[in-house]
Amino acid sequence: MMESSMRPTPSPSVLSRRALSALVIIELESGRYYSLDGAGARIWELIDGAHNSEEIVAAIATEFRIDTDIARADVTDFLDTLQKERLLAAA
Amino acid sequence: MQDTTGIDPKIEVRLDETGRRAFLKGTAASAVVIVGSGDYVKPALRFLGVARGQALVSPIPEREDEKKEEKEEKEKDEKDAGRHSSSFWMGKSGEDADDWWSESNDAGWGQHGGRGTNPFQHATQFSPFFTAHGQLQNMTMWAVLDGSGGSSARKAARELVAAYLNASFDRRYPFTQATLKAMWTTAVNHGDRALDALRSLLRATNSN
Repeated sequence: MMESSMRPTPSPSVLSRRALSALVIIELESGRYYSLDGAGARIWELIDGAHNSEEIVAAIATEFRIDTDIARADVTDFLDTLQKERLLAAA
Repeated sequence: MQDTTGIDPKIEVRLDETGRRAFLKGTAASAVVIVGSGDYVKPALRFLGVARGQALVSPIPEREDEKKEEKEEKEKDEKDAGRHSSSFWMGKSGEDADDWWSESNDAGWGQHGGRGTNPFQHATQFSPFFTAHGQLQNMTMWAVLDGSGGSSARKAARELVAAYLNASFDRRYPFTQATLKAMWTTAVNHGDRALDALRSLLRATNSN
């Protein structure tokens, strides 16, 4: 699990493409394609090396008007998924 | 949006359901993405497929009753988007498109609806216009387009040149010139698997 103080960044082998309110992601080394929408797309935008996971949680909670605990649980799960798929740079 | 490749974050691609299905079938690079309504939904990563060789392999089965509609919409979308293959730009698809970019400021470019002027001509060297690759030394754009087979870099470069002509000709092409250059550079830096993935993506985008 990612620590809240860490500032995640995309893997250098990942290309992402904005598509209105959604994103398409390609991991060039594996050739795997993904899409994100809604909160997932917004979280990806915040994975820029400038925001730590707690700041991402706060942004999602505010922007989507949801409880912070729910946002924290969802963001944590989502970051773990991205990490398992090797879409994030190694810590 | 953060971007690891220097791609302009303002670039947008119009995606719709038809485009997604086409993407999954390997016939278009525009993935289907359902745009959210704004209500909160738990974030999820949707796996669309894997680029292998020439096709994008979809993990999602396609419904038979959607095929006819998809085909019609796909044909319309592709026509509107101005996507053309490498063969097209070599004049092998019934149009003399090879004459649209044979020289600098080629009159044929604009006469056939191209934006501005052609970005390069047949004799332009592939690099340094695009990031250099050892398999493409001293090759002209025409030489890159011409032929079949070859290394991962050769195959990807062939689609890249066609894609760049498409992007220059018609602003509705899904990738901008700057994006294509950045994608190429990224792929070169990551080796053959990345070049194969890029080739697959561009081939799907360029195909008619």
